[in-house]
Order: sequence, then C-alpha cells, then structure tokens
Amino acid sequence: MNHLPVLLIINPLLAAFSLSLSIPPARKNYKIIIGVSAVIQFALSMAALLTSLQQPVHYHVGGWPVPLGITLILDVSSGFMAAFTSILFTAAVLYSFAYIGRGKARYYYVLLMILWAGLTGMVLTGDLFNMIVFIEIASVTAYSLVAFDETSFSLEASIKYMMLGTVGTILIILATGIIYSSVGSLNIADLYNRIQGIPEKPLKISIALFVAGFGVKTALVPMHTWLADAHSSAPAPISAILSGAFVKVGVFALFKLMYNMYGWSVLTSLGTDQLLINIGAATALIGGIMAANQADLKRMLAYSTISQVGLIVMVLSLGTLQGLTAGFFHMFNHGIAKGALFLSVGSMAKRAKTNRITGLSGIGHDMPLSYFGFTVGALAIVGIPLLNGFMSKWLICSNLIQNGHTLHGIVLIIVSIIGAFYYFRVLERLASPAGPDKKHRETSYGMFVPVVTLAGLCIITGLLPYIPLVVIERASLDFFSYNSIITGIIGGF
Amino acid sequence: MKYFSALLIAVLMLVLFISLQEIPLSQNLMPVSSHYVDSGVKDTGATNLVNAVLFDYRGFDTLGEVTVIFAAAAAFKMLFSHRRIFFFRYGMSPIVKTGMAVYSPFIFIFGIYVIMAGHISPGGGFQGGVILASLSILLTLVYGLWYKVRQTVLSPAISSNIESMGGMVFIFIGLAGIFSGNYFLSNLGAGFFAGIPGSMFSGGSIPLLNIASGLKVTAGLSIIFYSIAGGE
Amino acid sequence: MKPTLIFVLLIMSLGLYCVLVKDNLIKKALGINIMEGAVFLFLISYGYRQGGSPPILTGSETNIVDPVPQALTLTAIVIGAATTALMLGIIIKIYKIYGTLDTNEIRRLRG
Repeated sequence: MNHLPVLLIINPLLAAFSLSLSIPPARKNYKIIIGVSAVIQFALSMAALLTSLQQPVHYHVGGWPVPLGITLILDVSSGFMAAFTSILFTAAVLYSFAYIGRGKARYYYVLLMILWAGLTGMVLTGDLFNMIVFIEIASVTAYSLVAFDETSFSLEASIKYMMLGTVGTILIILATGIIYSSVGSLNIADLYNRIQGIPEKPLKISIALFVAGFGVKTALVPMHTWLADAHSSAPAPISAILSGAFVKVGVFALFKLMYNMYGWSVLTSLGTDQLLINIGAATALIGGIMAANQADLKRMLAYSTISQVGLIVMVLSLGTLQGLTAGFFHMFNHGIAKGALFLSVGSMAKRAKTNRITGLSGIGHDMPLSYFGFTVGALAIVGIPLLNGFMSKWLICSNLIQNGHTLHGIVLIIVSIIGAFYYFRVLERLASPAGPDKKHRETSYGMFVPVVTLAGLCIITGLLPYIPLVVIERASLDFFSYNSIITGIIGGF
Repeated sequence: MKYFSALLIAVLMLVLFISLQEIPLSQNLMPVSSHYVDSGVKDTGATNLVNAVLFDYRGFDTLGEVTVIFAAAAAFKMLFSHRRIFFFRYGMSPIVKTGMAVYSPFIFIFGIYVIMAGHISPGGGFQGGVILASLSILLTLVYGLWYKVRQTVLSPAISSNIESMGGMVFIFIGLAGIFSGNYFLSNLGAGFFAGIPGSMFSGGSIPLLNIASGLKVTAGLSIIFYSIAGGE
Repeated sequence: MKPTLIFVLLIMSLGLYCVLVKDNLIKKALGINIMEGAVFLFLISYGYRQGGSPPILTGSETNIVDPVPQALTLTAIVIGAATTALMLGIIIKIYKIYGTLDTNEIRRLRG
C-alpha cells in the first residue's frame, strides 16, 4: 500500500520537532536540517502528484474502514494542490535563508514547517473534523508568523487576524456540530450519502456557517478586513506563502465541502450558488478598488490578492467541470505570480528600507533581476497575453458568459482594467530614472534565485499552458466525480 | 454602536434558535457511535471509549492537536525571547510554602495516575498533562521564579527536549504501524500488546500514546508560562 | 428540542457581545473564549442519550452516551486554549509597546 499521503504530512512535522530540540547540533545546523527536509518534501509531493495521476490513493489511518476512521484521499486534485503548495514553500524556504537573519530564526523555521504540514493536511484529508484540526494548525502558525517582526504594526495586524480567524473557526465547529448531531458521521464522502437526513433549516444554517467561517479564512467580503494588514506586515516569504497558498487552500477546502459533501444539486435548490457568485463579484470589485488607493506596495499586493480570490470564487461557484478547470488554473497562476511579486518586493524593500511606492522609485535600475521578477508577476496577474494569467482569465470570463452570468463577466473585465491601472503605475514608478539623491543599492544576492525561478515558471506556463492544463483537467475531473469514486470503496455501512 | 450590536446579536440568535430546534433527536446511538460502543473493546483493548476514539480510531486528530500546542509553545519561544520581563521574583509566605510542600507530591502522583490509567478510567494524556503543568505553575507561584530558573531538573532546555521527544515518540509509534505492514497509527493491527481489557497493561499502543501526549502537553504549557514570566 | 439550546445561544450571545462591544483587548479575547465554550456545550449536549451512562465500559451498561462528541470537544478545547494563550501573549506584547489596552487608543496611535 502506498504510504505517501501520510508521509507528506509527517515529514515536515518530524523536521519541526527535531529542530526545536535544545541540543547543539540542532542549534547550529538548522539550515541543513530545513534544507534537507524541504527537498525531501518537494520530491515527495511531486511523487504524490505522479502517483495520483495513475491511480488515486485512499489511505485509512489506523486501518479502520471508512465511516469509523480518518481517510486521507490522494487524487489528482489534492495531489495538484499539494505539489503547488510545495513549489511555493520551497521557493520561500530558499528565500528565507538569505532574508531572515540569525537570532530567532530557528523558531521561524519550526513554525514554517508546521504551516507546510497544516496546509498539506488541509488538502489531503477526507474527514470533516480532521480538516478543522488542520485549519487550526495552519492558522495558529500563520497568526504567529505574521507577528514575527514584533513591530507595533505587525502585532496589531496579528491580533486582528487572530480574533477574526478564531471566530471563523468557531463558526466552522458549530456547523460541524450541527451536521454530526443530525446525521452521526464525519467522513465527507459518507456524509454525501446521508445528507438527506438533515432537515431543511439546519441544512441552510450549516451552509451559511461554513461560508462565513471559510470566508473569514480566505478573506471574502465582508470578512476581508484583516488581510491587508496581515499580509503587508508579515515578512516577505510569509506574505508570499499566505497570499499564494493559504487563501487558495481555504477556497479549495470550502468548495470541496460544497461539491462533495452537500452535492451541487442541493446548493442550487437552496440558492447558494447565486450567493457565492455575488460574494465573489463583490470581493473582486472591492479588492480592486481598494488596491488602487494604496501608497504602500505590499498593501496594494494584498488587496490585489483579495480581488483575484474573488474571481476564483466566482468561477468555482458555477458548478460545471470547465468552471473547476478555470478556477484551479487561476489558483495556480495567481499563486506563482503573487509569490514572485511578494518575494521580489521583499528584496527591493529590504534594500531600500521602505515599503512605500514613492520611496522605491528608480530601484528597477539597481536591481534588474528582482525588477524582472516583479514585472513578470505583475504582467501575469494583469493578464497580458503570452503569460499565464491571460489564459486563466480568458477561461474564467468565457465560462462566466457561457453560463449566463454576463454581468459577472463584465465585473471581471472591469477588475482587470483597474488592475492594469495600478500595476502599470507601479511598474513605471519603479523603472523611472532615480532622483538626484540616488543611493547605490546593489542587487540582492541569494534572494533572486527563487524570484527568477517563479517568474520563469510564469513564462513557461504562459507559453506552454497545455502542460499544467492536462494535470488540472484531470484534477477537476477527480474533484467533480469524487463521490462516484469513493462510493465504490465505502460499501456496506 | 452598542445598541446596533445588541440588536444584530438578538436577530442572529433568534434565527439560530428557530432553525436549530429542528435537529432530529434520537434515543439510539448514531451508526458510527453504535459500532464504537459494540466493538470498541474488542477492536482496541481499552475500556474507556472516549480514549479509544481519541487515540485509536481518530488518532490523527490527536496528532494534529498535539501539533497545535507545539506550535503555540514555539510561537511563545519566538516572541518572548528577551529576558526582560520578570514576574514572581520571590515566593509567598512560609505558611504557603510549607503547605505546598505537603500537597505537591499528591498532585504529582494524581497527575501521573490520570495519564497512565487513561484507557481504563476517565482521563488520558491531555487531562493528566494539564494537571502536571498546573503543578509546575503552582510551584513557580509559591516558591518564586529564581527557584525554578536555577533548577537543573526542569530547566527550560530540558522542557523543550521533553516536548520535542513527546511529539517524536508519537510519530514513531505511528511509524511502527507502517513498519509492521499495516497503516499509520495502527493499534492492534500493528502487533501491540493487547492484554486483558480493564487491566493496566492493556490497550495496545494507547497507554504509550497517552504518556507521549501527556509529557508533551506538560512541557508545552510550562514553556508557555515560563516564556511570559521569565523569558528565556 | 433540547432545553440546553437556550443556554447555548445565551452564552454565545454574551460572548459575541463582549467581542463586538467591549473596548479592552483582554475582554475581547475572553469573549472569544466564552463563545467557544458555548459551542462545546452544544456539541456535548446533543450527544446525550436519555438515562445513559458514561462511555466507560465495565460490562454492565445497556444505555451509553455518545463518545464521539466528547472526543471532538476534548480536541477542540485544547486547540481553543492554545489559541487563547497565543492571543493573550500577543496582547501582552502590545501592552509593552503601546502602554494601553484600549482599542480606540491603539487605532489612533497607529496613524
């Protein structure tokens, strides 16, 4: 039997536990331990993706069959999300080697590894309460990593994030309680068969609580107020991971519940899909409008994340297979592009010692590699042809219009135009000739490799979109037909 | 602002009340729970069903919970790493110190009993771990922080080691399930000693997991307290 | 319908009121803790069976209470305690920097 799903979660946990021992080898050589563990995890997740492409793996932890124990499901959709998260995390770990100074760096890496394990667990699990536990693991580490710099701004951002996030978790636990008290099972696939046993009013309340709870975690409107502060005051690699991976995994988990636990027909009869599309549209618009008003570069990128997540939610709530493909593709593209953006902004801001757009003017000349990464990422998100963002935004727009939501397609076009406005403004400012008090800021070393790699990945995906699209189409097929795969395994309970 | 929030809360609670009334109540147990009750002892060897569910059927959740405590302790070590805050410098009066000297062995034994007998009576790793951690905090309150800091047995470095070792033992017990050919965290399927249900040496790997998580919770909560009180 | 539902909603509304209305940061953190307590009460009360005994088998019971919500609540209590501890720790650090715990002052100081 294939032990890959549980190894993907155990490996970062073991690294984190062994790193926090107080013995001298752990204190001095933490970079080696982290590097080895990150490479192993990256290799494991690629192997998991390849294995899932051949045949899905259903792992029963503890050996107990489906309704009794916890199952980890490794099909193409979870393998794809795990691999995508690993790409971002490996880039961030490599970047952190040069970005985070000594001192308390050891605990930073401990929390980073636990965050990796938490996000991978959120994607792989097939059990409702297990998903809540992994959400909490990822959230607790995210709260503390936002507060890493210990400045007044980051502490305030962290406490705001923590309070909103904990309320979100309370709502999700309440919804799980409603479902368990009505039906008596906690396995997602098993619940699909039993969901008829819940009367209508508790069903509606549980859906509303799930949307509200996950909406806090993924910053949907009106629960988005924490993201701008949190992602702009976190250290640069953490912003890249949170913006690039955490919110996407949250959206993935929410829609996994919507598609595979309730079943889309139930949601359509209750009107939830209209609600989700409208929430997505509002999120996209508000994110775009607020991003255009920012003077701080990282806050602008954070609001841009909010608006792109709105687009993803819009297309995922269509309920069609092509909609799923477009949504996953945009998750991938936006994750890589936003990762490149945040990492390049991190190195530029570290050299110039400021985050404001006006303070960074002219830095493009001094740091060409980081500026190249920033340009590629920005153009990808705006949707310039030949880069990956164009393909995914085109797919989203065509799916929206094909399913009759022309108004939402127009919303996407408006958001893209606003995005072009504020990204081009920054690009021009960064490339403008420097003022008379020009200081020599040299190119950052050791930090440009992840940035250039991510930017290169954007370009490759843009020129050859069919390589990821093949995987993503298989992923959305597995996601959509989750229950028919699982029902063959449950049998007899 | 106050009245608006109160009104909003009243409306929300009314909506919840009207809809949650309709959750069906049944007298029999749900399908999954009835299986746990019927064959729980046969499957796991432990008579405390809550412990069996927590450490055997749903052991993966417990691993996640242990990781949350670990993450919180690591976050505290990261944030409070400057040795500047010093509360509880000196202890309390001699009456309290003498009384505490009489009480603390009993609390210690009680905590260890709750951890080790978790599979046959109410209790388990987490409950006992909290008792031991509160004993540690109580000793600090009564005897003062200088006394604890100068200790060599429960110094912060050893607490971190105990915490990490607890977590690693948990994962290694799970890996033993893999090495014996079964799945991760298998209990009786991986060949752990089952014993007679109801006796102390029964339950397979459940007492071992109880001890591992108990040590980890003790160390984790102590580290959280010491980080705020004394810094390290 | 269960009588405990009234208490669950009462406690949750108290907690929610604290989080929304009170100005002190520590009171907000405690309000979140109170709300968590309400959810745990909800989980456990719906696991009760009339006349049931605790889920510890000594060989002579016929009617046993549901053990699964108790296990879920144990896990959730520990997670909630860890999160509350983290919240209070960061509030201590905020107090060290700002000197006050009033949210209006903190929002104004940031400027």
